[in-house]
Amino acid sequence: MQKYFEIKNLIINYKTFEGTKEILNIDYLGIDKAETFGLVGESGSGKTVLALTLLKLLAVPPGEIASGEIWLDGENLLIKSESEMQKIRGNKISMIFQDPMSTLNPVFTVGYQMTQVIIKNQKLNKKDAEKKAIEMIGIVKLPDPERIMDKYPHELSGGQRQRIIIAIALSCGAEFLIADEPTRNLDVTIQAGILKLIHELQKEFGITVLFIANNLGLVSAICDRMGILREGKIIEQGTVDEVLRNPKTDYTKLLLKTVTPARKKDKQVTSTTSEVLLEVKELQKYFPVKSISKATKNLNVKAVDGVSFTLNKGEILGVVGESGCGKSTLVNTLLLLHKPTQGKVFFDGQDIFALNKHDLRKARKNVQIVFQDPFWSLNPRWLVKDIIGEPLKVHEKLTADEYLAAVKKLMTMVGLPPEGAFKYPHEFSGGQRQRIAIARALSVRPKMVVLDEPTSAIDVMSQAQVLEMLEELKKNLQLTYIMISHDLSVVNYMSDKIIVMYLGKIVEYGESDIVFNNPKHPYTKALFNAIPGLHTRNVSELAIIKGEVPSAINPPKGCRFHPRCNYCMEICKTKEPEAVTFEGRLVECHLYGEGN
Amino acid sequence: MSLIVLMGVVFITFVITRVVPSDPAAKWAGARATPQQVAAARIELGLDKPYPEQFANYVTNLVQGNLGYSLRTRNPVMNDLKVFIPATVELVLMATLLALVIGIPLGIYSAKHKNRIFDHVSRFFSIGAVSLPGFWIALALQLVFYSYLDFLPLGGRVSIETSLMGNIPNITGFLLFDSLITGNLVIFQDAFRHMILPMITIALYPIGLVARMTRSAMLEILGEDYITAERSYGLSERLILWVYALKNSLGPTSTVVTLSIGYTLMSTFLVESIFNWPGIGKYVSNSIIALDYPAIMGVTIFSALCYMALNLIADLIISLDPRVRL
Amino acid sequence: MFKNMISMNTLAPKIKEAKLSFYLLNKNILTRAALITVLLLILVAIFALYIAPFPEHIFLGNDPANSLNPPSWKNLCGTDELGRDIFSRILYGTSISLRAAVTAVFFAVTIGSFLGAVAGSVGGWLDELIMRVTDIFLSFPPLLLSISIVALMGPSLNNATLAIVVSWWPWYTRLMRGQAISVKEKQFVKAAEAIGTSRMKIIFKHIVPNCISPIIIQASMDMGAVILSLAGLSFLGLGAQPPTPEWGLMVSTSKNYFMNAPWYSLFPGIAIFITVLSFNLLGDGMREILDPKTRKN
Repeated sequence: MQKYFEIKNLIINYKTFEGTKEILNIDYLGIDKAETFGLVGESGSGKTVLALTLLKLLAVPPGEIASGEIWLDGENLLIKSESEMQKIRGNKISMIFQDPMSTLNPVFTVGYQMTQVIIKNQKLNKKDAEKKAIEMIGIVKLPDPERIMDKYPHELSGGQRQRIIIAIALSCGAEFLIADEPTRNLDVTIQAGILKLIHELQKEFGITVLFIANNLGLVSAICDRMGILREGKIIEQGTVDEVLRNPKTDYTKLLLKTVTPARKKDKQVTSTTSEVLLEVKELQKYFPVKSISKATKNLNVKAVDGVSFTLNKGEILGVVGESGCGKSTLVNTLLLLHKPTQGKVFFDGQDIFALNKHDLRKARKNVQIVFQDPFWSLNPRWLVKDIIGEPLKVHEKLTADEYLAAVKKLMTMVGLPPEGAFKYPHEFSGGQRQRIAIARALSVRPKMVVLDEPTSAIDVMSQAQVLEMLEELKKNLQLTYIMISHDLSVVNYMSDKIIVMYLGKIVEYGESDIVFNNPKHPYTKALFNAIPGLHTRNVSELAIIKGEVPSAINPPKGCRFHPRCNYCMEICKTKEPEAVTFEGRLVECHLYGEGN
Repeated sequence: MSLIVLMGVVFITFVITRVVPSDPAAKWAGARATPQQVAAARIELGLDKPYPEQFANYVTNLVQGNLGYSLRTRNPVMNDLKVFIPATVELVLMATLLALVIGIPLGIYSAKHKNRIFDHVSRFFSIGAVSLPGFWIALALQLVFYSYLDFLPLGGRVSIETSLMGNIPNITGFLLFDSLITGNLVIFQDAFRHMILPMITIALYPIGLVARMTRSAMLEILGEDYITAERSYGLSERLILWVYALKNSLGPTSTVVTLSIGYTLMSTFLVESIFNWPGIGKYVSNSIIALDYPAIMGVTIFSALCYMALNLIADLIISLDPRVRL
Repeated sequence: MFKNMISMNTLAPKIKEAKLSFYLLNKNILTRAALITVLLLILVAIFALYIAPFPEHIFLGNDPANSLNPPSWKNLCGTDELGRDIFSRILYGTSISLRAAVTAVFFAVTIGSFLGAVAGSVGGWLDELIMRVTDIFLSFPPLLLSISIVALMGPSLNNATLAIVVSWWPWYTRLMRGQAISVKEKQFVKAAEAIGTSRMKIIFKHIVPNCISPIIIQASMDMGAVILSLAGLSFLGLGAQPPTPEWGLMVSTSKNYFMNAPWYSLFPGIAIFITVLSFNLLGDGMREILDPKTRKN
């Protein structure tokens, strides 16, 4: 029996100068009507190529559809002409794209873009099209549709834009919706809202959804059936329950493992001494707003606004929060990449902001960083030996032989073949490059290493290995880590203590066991519950925080979270909460103040 | 901000006129002047004063529209310019128009048919156009269309017969425009025939430039996510190309227009004297031969100011882009 | 031994890169033709004196009896008003034009990109200052600044070359600054800062090497335009002076005779056109070949 949507023997090649490369080879994929099918794959697995092929928008050349059939509702899309496809696009199939920031045309108003699509596809006149557009904006639950019609895309936030894109996609009655990682560039609390919306619309209009994701949790939350895509092939498909409960391939098992890494067992046994290594007191960092208009002159972006914590030797501190919460600024300030506006930082007993230039350079040795993206953190024109050895050249005087020996030793330490010293970074894989970055950070035997999303840009296979290696190195070299990540499972797996930040302030800070198992601050609770995990079987379980993150130029008075908080009281609007100890952690919230 | 740039331009032109190794006073006094006459000329021209004061005078004069006296025509440079500017502006505008009308569609079609035959031919044509020396093409065109085919006039703005008829309208100084609104079609036709060769000569370089810049700007825009998205909504290619992408290219296009006006202006300096076109280009080349510094500097300042104003307008157009407008 | 090891190991990626460049070059016939022409022109420029049939005609040596002869087997491009062999003069003109253009581009690139690198990587008031000055120079229409500089300094080929440098460097400053700013934001620069690498080293070892290729592409594309500008200045009487066999100057002199002796104008013009066209095609092709966007596909 034929399904509503089927792909048969689809082979897509890419032509490069070295020859033809197969990037997609799908034997069979079938989706029933009104079903949500999740397709999970890492970047480079061919997900986006597939999505574009379904709409016949793949660039040919370099792409080439070698063979195959794509059936939708009894019609083979691949034999359609361009003009026939134009009728199908928008009317029958629609797509939601990855990055809402670049998917709307920046020089037209939202209303213009919506009505154009409606006029073209539904042959309505301008007035009716506008009416329909306003109706659609209401359907995707944006407030004040008439006003939104006149706005330009840049006046809307990422979440709002993605809702508009969904509205455009569904405005002409498309029955088949391709969602290509629609929440990838959104913050987790916004992501939950978009997922819920897609789910509701799917139920309401009975549309069929192909949901492409790089994360099993998302698929688990909203899909009925799913497939795993790896290197262009679908290696497993079935109902979500089947695949997640009873994975057949090793790759799927590995994916599952990285979503929920086993909690470290010897967590408290690690060499956690009570010796303080880092003490941060009331740290503030303001950036002046660059603007010519008088209204915004002398204003500051309060990126970090009064942050205090201590870190003991040998501990791992996790810092989590949404984008714009100030975690990167915090780290850059700790690394002395810019001067703080106010506050003190004691590292190993020394006030690091009081150091002179010479001592500062020496002090830099003790704190090193591993960046998120190993493709840009290594100078592409340098040999690996020079990259790893750069700190050595700055801080130590070695002969050429000693230098090379030191580099090779470091490479062995991070599990790289020492022969690689004479290669360029682009000859290594993402995981290996991250190892190079780690070797560089460790070359001058620092006391503390900052890990800025160390695994988010590398493939799943390498992630677990890199994390394990970091753990090992920490033990062997008596290191202390500060780890920034938006991936709570990674932080949960690694860290001893955790800081949750919101809009430049710490909202909750304590032992990660305590905070993770029983978060107290309403923001922490919502943040933890907004992320779909494998246990999430329905989007309604996800928490949504209303509204958007306010501007850090002019943060809300009182508690900064109060406009979005479900537990907001009168006092929250006027008085800034102080940090209080509650059930073993510090929390800044009036719910846990004195008397409660 | 543009005020600083403006002062800078004025300062540079001042420095050029004063630092040059030749003595303007000697020039002014004439070839057979006595030392006393030269000294008198120096005082007359204000060259005996200290540099800061000279600069102050220079700026004051500029603000009053006084560009000094031409050593060749002995007229105020400003008056000379007033006579010659309209002819050049008319030529520049017509040539720019031609360049845009041909260059922009060429660039867009090239981008749309990237790496196909049309693209290759158009790229070769546009690179060829920016490789041709304008002064040489001018001679070649004259040879073919005047000497061999006897089809178009050799030079000038109107033919002698027409000018003898008298009553050449002079309202704006733009002959094509003036003759058209006075309904004098004979003069219009004659003036247009005179315009063709210089216009083509001058337009060639900007045509190539505009086509190449439009092509690359278009290619960039067509690679954006929102264009893919617009395609996925079932919009037609024509709508995407000529409505969506074109509006996105507003910024690059206005840069192109400014640049092409800049280049047409440049070409007039080389070409006007060949076509005997009574504009500032011819005025400059004659001034160069006569080493008439005030005239050269006057034209320099005037052209720089025009060009700055154009750039300012281009910036204004770019700032209409909602992304910039905040 | 040690040295050998380095070259052995670093060769592999370079071979791959070179292979890719060669492939792209091979695919583009026009670029290949342009490359061959440019190489030929360089050879002609070097050996002009030896291959010219009438080396004595290059500068002075007039022969009034044979003035304004049409092209023949003896004088491939005819003779000029003084009876000199135009072909010989054109051949020698190659070396004049190429030498002046290379000099001009070299200094413009060096000065411009140094200032751009400093402005982009240091930032602050120094950046403001450099960029304001750059803006001032860029607000003159092309060629105009060169014309007034040479007109006032006195016409000569050297002054024309200098004038070209003065009006061209700001373009490289702007380009280099943009590059430097984008490279400065890359994490490897941040990493170097965090390590404590000195500022000078960051600028010249990290930032500059990663900005170089667009500059080289731009310079090769500008060669054509500079040759054209120099010819234009000479045509106006501001560049090379008689009896130098400069192409622009030759066209300029020829315009008094071109109705009767069109070959006199024709051939120097063709020489300019072919030279400029080859450099432009080569520059355009190089951009296409070295552009990372093209490379990816």
